[in-house]
Amino acid sequence: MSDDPRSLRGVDRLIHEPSRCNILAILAAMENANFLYLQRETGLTKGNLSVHLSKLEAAGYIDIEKTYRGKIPVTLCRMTLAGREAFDTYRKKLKQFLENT
Amino acid sequence: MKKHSPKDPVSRARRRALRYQHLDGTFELTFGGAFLLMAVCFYGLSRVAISDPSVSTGLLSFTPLVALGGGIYLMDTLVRQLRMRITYPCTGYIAYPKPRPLKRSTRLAIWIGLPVFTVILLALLFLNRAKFYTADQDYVSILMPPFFGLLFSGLWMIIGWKVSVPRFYFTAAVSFLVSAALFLKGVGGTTGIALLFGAMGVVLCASGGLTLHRYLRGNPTPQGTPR
Repeated sequence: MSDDPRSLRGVDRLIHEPSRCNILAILAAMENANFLYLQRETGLTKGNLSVHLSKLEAAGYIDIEKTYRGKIPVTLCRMTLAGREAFDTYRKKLKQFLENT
Repeated sequence: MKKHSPKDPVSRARRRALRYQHLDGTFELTFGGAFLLMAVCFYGLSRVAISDPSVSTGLLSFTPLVALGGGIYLMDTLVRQLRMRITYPCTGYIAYPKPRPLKRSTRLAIWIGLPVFTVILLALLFLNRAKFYTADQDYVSILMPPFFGLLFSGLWMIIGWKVSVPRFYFTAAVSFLVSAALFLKGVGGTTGIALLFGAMGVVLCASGGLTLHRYLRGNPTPQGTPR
């Protein structure tokens, strides 16, 4: 990892992808959101959103809880503390990079 | 949680989430219903006041407390139920983070500013009372509708500005205009308050109903979509 503020090499590649960055920005603003809300807000297809959520969950940035409301399955996504820290660090690095270029 | 600039994606998402609460009009519908209920309550009291003034004084002291407590409970339950059945199946569910405690300066502004505003407003209205009604009328009862009207108007303006929903400015304008009209006509007391609450209830129900109609037309419940 580079400490050079003019370099983007230090940024978290997992978050740097636009769709995942968008998902994290949405989840950072709230306690939790379900799959349908995230799909509408990001404009992603079901499959795409599912893949991105799985990657974020595997990295420990979000928690996914699958429950039922009546007979309807509900997928709730919540940002973890590690996710918040990683997202904050990413934003700081990006801001630093933009200020120095 | 950190404070971010308005251009920040998190701030944008937070603002959109706040606006999401008012996307379906259920908030206004429930508020409108509560206002209409209070209007009926105040109208009933004004009728009782005509037949037996002593009963009215006793009832009046309890009614606002009961109406406020009951209204808040009813509103909260109704909004939650309506959202569970209408909004969340159509456009998704979100849980809001716990609100941040207000800054010391904001708290002071509310605790000092609101009483000062009320005193100034009432003093101004009292000093100019001769211009609006005859001396034999009870000025305190005449001042009640404009006071509530201005209070509601301010509240709707703040809500509209906070969540960036322009239709709330219209509600604020109606509240101001109706209360001003009642004041100029010299309609006060429980009748004046009943008319103000009634007008507000009708406007809120109409606005909420139209918003809900547009929302349901634009967002049919998706079939087979995971939630």
